Amino acid sequence: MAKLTRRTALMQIASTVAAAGLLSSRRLAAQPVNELRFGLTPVFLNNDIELLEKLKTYLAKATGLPVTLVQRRTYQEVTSLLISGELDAAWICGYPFVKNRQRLKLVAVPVWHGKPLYQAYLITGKDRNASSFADLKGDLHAFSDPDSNSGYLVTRALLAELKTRPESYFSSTFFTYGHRNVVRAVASGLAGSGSVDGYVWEVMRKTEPDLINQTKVIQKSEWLGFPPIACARSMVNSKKLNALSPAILNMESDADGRAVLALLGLDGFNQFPPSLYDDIAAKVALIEVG
Amino acid sequence: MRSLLNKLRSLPITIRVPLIAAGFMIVVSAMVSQQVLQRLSASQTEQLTDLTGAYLDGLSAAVTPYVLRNDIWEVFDALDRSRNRYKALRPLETIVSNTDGKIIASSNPRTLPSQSTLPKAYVGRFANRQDLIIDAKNGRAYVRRDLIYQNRKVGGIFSTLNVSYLMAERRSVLMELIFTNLALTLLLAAIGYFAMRRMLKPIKILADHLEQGINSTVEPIPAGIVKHKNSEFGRLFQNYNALVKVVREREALADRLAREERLASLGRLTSGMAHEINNPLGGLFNAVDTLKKHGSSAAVRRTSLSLLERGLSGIRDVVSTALATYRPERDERNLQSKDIDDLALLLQPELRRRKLTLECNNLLGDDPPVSVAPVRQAVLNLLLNAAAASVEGGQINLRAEVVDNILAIAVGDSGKGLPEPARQFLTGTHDGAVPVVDGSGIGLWMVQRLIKEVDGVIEVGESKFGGTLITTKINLQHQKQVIENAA
Repeated sequence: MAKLTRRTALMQIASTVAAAGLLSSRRLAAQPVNELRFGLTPVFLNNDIELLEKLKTYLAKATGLPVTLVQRRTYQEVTSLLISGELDAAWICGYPFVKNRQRLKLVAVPVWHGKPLYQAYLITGKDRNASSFADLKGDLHAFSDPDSNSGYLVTRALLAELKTRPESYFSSTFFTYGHRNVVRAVASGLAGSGSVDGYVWEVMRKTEPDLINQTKVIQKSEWLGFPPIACARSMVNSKKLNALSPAILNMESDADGRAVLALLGLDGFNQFPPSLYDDIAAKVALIEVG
Repeated sequence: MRSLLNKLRSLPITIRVPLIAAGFMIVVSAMVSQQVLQRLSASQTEQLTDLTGAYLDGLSAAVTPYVLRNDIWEVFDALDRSRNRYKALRPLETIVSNTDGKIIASSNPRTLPSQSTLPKAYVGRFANRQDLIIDAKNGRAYVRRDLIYQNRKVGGIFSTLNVSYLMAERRSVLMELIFTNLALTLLLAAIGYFAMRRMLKPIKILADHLEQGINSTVEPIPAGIVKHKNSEFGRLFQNYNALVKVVREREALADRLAREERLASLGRLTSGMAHEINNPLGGLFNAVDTLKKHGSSAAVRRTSLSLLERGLSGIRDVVSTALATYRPERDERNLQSKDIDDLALLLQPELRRRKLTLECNNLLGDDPPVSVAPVRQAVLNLLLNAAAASVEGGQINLRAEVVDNILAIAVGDSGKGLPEPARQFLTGTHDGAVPVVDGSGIGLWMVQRLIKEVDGVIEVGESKFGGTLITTKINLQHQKQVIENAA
């Protein structure tokens, strides 16, 4: 895997943003001005059509605006669209938020089990004789997304603390671009181990127990800021965002909203300061130094 | 095999023909089954080729971009999703490899992990470069496909499919064919059996009548059976009945001829006897005249009476022999040694008439168990025939004996020999018509007929006088059984 430095990362983002900006100027002209475009990262449970439909219905009802849910294969694509203003808001991960905190603003943070926090899990096959991270050395390791906190950054930082890198510690690594896919890769035996979102793994334990039961958690990270809903700073105080914020924050007070929250397994959404993501920022700093 | 064929040949035609028909049915059904199975196998292979082609086309399109990037997850994801999409094909295991022979991803990563080397068994299986191999025994099919990108091979797909359902289908078709054909064959064989039986019934009737004709008397087929006069068998029955009519007429004619011949021989004997009686009659009348004229003389009386006595004795012998020979009740008994002597005596007038001498060797001890009438008549005919054949002053011999339970009566003459057709007729080597020449053949025909009556055979040889020696041989053991059975 190419070494990701601050410089190259910034250059990548800049070029992506520029390209997306060119495209967006044309696309924006074509789309209705009052349409709410809400981005979802594939890291999330985006395979659940029912959830998407319910979320769309709720947002449309709560905001009074036509809603389009925008999904892309990678975090990077969604983040680029968000920064370029092509999306009004997006549910992204803590890692891209930290990386782009100068351009992004938090809209709301999910509350799970009473806290805006979650953990990253290192998982392996259920029947495998492994109990610690050290046992996973030499594995074919599955990551979720290079811009995922739990699905990449946490493990990367863990290795940086050990003064090593994924390509050295593991025999090889690959990205599945989805936490569920990481679970599938580990459950099937394709990957010896994987880095996965703890919240996703726990929700899947209820929704797809057969799949989850083929895996086991080797190590959990410290509690970290939950993937937030963010918007471009340029969109702050826009009409659409003013309609979206209360819709998200008051989701639990509406029946459709509660149905969405039930499917997500979340308590609700609340506002928190960006400092919630300082631990993630520390990890970013750690790997950039490494 | 040969004995089986012989056994088959010995079976009645009503069973043999349906059996052969059933055999043909089995052979035909086996050939048809073989054809059906071959066609099914070809069709299954074709279907499998099409299905696997579609499967590999879809998979190739899905994985090729990821193979170029060596993207383990995407390749696996494509394989994983295709597993559910191609359920009809039942892929058990699919591997995608790169050109270095390393597995990028397989559908069973636990046994075939990514980045490991492709097992040699997979590569070796396709050594002959074929794309589809069917292992019918294990119900597996193996397929492979090169992944081509911009005319260059970038990897390969190897897949193991579960085709046991195809094999099961083949087995099921085979069993169905076997049972259906077996049922049909049995049904058709049964129909064939009864149909042939029905069709061959007239043949059996005809065969039974012919057999009866050989063993006893020929009988016509009753009119009730000859229903369809215009059918093939109807015409056959009519022809048979016409034949029976002719045979019966011939038999009646033969009986009449036999009776006439018997009367003829009797006539000849009577004629001889008349001579025999007539000859001394002159002497007897002379003696009577002498007695009338010179009866007072004791010497003349004695001489004349002696003459009368001798003459009358001769007449008495002749008459008593004729009476003894032709007394009807005598025909019911078996042959006796005395009958041979009687025949010799009966022939005397004829012998004297022709100046012949008879050498009689009657060696019969116990009375042989054989009916007297046919034997006596036959030997008499032979003797008369021999007398007629011999030149005047010639010799005839008669020899009767029993050797090894065989009664042999031989009559030899000093004639010119028997014509060849007559010899063949007598010995049964020629079944042609009776060689009747100016009536003399009827005697021989009578002899042949009479000896056949007692299951005897006739041998023809040369007599010691240079003429013909005719020997009749009768198996007494066999005759004894016939007589016992008749009793």
